[in-house]
Amino acid sequence: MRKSDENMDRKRNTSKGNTLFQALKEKASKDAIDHSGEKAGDEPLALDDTQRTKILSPGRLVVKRFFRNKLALVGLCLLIFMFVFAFLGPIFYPYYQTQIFYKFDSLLIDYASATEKSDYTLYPLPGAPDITFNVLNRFNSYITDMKAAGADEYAVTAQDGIEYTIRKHGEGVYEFFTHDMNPVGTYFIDAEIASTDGTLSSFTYSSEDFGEDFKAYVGEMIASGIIGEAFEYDGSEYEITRVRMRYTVTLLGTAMKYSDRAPGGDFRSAVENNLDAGEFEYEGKAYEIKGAGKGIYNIIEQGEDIGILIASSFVFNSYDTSVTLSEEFRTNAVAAIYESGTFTADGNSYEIYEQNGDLFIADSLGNDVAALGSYAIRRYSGQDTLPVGFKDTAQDAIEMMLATNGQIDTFIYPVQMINADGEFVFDELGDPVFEDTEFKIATRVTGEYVLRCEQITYLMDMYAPPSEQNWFGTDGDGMDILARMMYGGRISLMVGFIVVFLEIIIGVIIGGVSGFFGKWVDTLLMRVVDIFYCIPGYPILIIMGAMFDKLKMDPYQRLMWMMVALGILGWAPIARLVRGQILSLREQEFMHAQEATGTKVRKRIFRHLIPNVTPQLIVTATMGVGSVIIYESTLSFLGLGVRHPLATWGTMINSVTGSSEAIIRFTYIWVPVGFLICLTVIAFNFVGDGLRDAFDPKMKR
Amino acid sequence: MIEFLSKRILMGIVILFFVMLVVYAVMYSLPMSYVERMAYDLSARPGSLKSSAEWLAELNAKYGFDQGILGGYFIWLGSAFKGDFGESWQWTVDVTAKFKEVIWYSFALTATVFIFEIIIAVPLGITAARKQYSTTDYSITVIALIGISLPTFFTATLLKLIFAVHLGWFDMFGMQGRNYLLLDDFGKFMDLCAHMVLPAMTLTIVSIGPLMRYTRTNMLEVLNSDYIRTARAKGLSERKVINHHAFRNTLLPLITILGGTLPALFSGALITETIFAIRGIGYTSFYSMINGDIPFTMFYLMFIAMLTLLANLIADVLYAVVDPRVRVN
Repeated sequence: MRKSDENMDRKRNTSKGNTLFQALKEKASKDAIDHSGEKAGDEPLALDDTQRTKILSPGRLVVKRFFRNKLALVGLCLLIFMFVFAFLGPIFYPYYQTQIFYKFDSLLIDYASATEKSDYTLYPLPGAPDITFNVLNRFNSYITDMKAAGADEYAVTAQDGIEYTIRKHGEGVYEFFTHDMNPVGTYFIDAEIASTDGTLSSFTYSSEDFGEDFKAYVGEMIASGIIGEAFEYDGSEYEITRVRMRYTVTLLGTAMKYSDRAPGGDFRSAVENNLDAGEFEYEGKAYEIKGAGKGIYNIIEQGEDIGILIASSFVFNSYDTSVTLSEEFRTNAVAAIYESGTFTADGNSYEIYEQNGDLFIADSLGNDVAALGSYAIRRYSGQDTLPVGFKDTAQDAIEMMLATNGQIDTFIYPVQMINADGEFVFDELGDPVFEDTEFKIATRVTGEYVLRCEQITYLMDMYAPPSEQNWFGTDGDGMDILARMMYGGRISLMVGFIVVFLEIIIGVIIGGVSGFFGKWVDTLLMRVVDIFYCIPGYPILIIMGAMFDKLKMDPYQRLMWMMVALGILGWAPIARLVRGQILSLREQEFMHAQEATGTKVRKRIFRHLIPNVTPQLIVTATMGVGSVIIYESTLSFLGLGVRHPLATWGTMINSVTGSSEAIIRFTYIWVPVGFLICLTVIAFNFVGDGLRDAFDPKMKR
Repeated sequence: MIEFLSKRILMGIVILFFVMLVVYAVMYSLPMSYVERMAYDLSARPGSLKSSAEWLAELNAKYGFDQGILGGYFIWLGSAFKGDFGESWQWTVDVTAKFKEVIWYSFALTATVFIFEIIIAVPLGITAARKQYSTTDYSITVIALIGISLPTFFTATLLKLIFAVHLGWFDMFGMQGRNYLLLDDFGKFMDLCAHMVLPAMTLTIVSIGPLMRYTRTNMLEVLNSDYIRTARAKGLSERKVINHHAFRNTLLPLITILGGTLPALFSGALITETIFAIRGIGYTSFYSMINGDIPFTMFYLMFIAMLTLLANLIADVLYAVVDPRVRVN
């Protein structure tokens, strides 16, 4: 200690510009150069020798004392390691911080979806007449009505008066047809056949047209004033009555007008007998009588049923998924289900047969072509490429599940095997290998199901344990921990340095100005320092973090703001330190000398005062970097600092310590990262401590 | 003395005024639509009898967000001066009521830590100073530095791993065990204590470092002073020298600095309480802050600023009280 104290004194004196010591120092350094060739220490020393104590420059003294301190050396080594790790490591390390790793692994995937077919597909029959959309669109509701009423037939009258009938073939198949309407004639009984207001232009027939001649004749009659009297025309008796300005032409008695030909002798009497019933049969044909105005009845012969379309809720599952079943095939198949069971389509004949309650369609050679199901089972992506066997099994399983109230909700079906590399497995013959896979049925909504199974899938390699590829494993986003440690270290160190740099700039300027000028400037600036001393750091940073979250700020921008905030919140102690130092330095002789020689204020501050404050500044800055790193990582740990995708040590720990399970499971992630933070901060503190002792050995004692 | 005190207190009030102005400015610069959204959220809360427009009008009237920074600040200051800090948005009770509810948990925790800190750090610091440059000294110095360097959250997580997960002695979070309601009063108290152990340990570990170093530095200074040399020279036993002469003199700066930390007993532990879910002032204000609860946050920040000012004042006064030499100046 003694030796260094002597040196210390020398250093002090030289810095005060003492000429004697200046000269001694110059001599010493000259001697040092002269003796540099010889072995130091070998030379015998005399008591009055100026070389008795080796004189070093202040800087070298500090260095020497620093390296004598073991703790400081440890800290320095740690720091060098951290810098190499964080700044050089990423250059040589192959992965980037946001590089996501993938792997093939078994994952419960949504393999297929099953939807109960509850609406009806319409298959128009060939050559069928058009049907109004109004009726067509309500088809499903008609069927619902039919089901509710338990009816086998359902009559619908369209707005244009055409009648349709829906007939149930069987469960899931309905046919829609209309009748061939063949008007036979019109029967009149005291019928009001026409009305007019006297002019021919307003003359209208109520139903049957009696021709222009009759119209003209009636016009004449009205003109000649024969009203209320019966008159004859073409063998029938008519009468014109007048109510106010309206003339009505009435056909008196009964009459029959045939549109084409008379069906036979007593047809008319058959009509007359059945006027109230509305329908009758005559010579094996069905007729219908429909009222069409007062005393006018249309007689219509009911012809053949004309099928329009067939509706079915059956789903066609084709065996060959590459082939789309033709429309004709579908239509004919549906029509044949409850009928003959055989049909022809596209020139081939097919047969429908039943097996275990399911319907299958085979061609004439006996090969299965398609199966009929009541669930639309598709791959989850929507493609209809699943094999019939799967669809069949799945449908049975769903029905079983519904029957057992969900107790049995799994089924097993072989699917093509995928190996660990995500490739399909083929045997030596080149055929795909199948393996039994358990499927689980999940109900999404009533009638909609998701079939899930474990399958080898290409997925993010999350939380992978340490391996050869990723030495520290991967995190929850499949990113390499080691790479993120390196980049996280970069951010932490950079934040530390930039923030401390900011603090020092502000602190030195404010503290320097305050200390140098004194008086009211000092008072004012020190009150400002007091204010910043009082502003609580963590709360403000937390509020800012929450605010940035709400603004969804860009991670880099956020980082900048955080550094600025940390700098602004942290300069006050440095300003105080600088001011204190300058206040005491200002009173010393060398400053008075400077003042006396008329050195500029700026030069006095920056050339003479600030360099004398530098040792303390360096110590404070070194320690400060450590505490800023703690600040930053704590904020990041709370999720309010640096955000994803940027890596930082705090965030990395936060992401894996949410629960006790995670704490145990991911110890290999957060413990190394935590120790990195600790070691870095410890290193800065050791170095700072060592520097302090080196700069000012008195403090150490 | 009285003149000094009143001057300091007045200065403290002025500083507090400006601190809160800065804080208010930060709060004010929250996103512009923030108050509107808050009003909407408040009106959507169950039990809210006001529409969002009414809430907005009320919030603006109360916190003056439509008055500009200065105008708004004076409105806030006016109501705060009357002791009305408004109703917390996060906790839906009066700010002061919430404060009274949670402050004692924080105080209990921090006071325990304070006591343990003194018990551990002061003797260790003195031992280190007595045996300067020995292995003991080095290890104590290193431990102190490590304590300073440990981030709170990492210490907390490590302790959780050891004591909560592996040993299973304590719960990881919270203040009550799952059978809390079945316990009698004493059992409830013990349960609460058990939940405070890990937070207290965390805080003690991260806070003993500075005190240890401070004690060591001061003890070294005292041990190197002339009166200790005199005491030794006149043949006093080493025990007497240390206990009577050195320690008592070391106490002076210690009392000053410890007295200065007394107000901090009420400030809670923001990070530790949040990590361990101890419902003290730190935990409460953390969630207030991240959820933009302006009334509570303003109150909390004012409280902290006041505590800091008070701490400085106490330290200065103690400095004069404890050491008569200072009083001369």
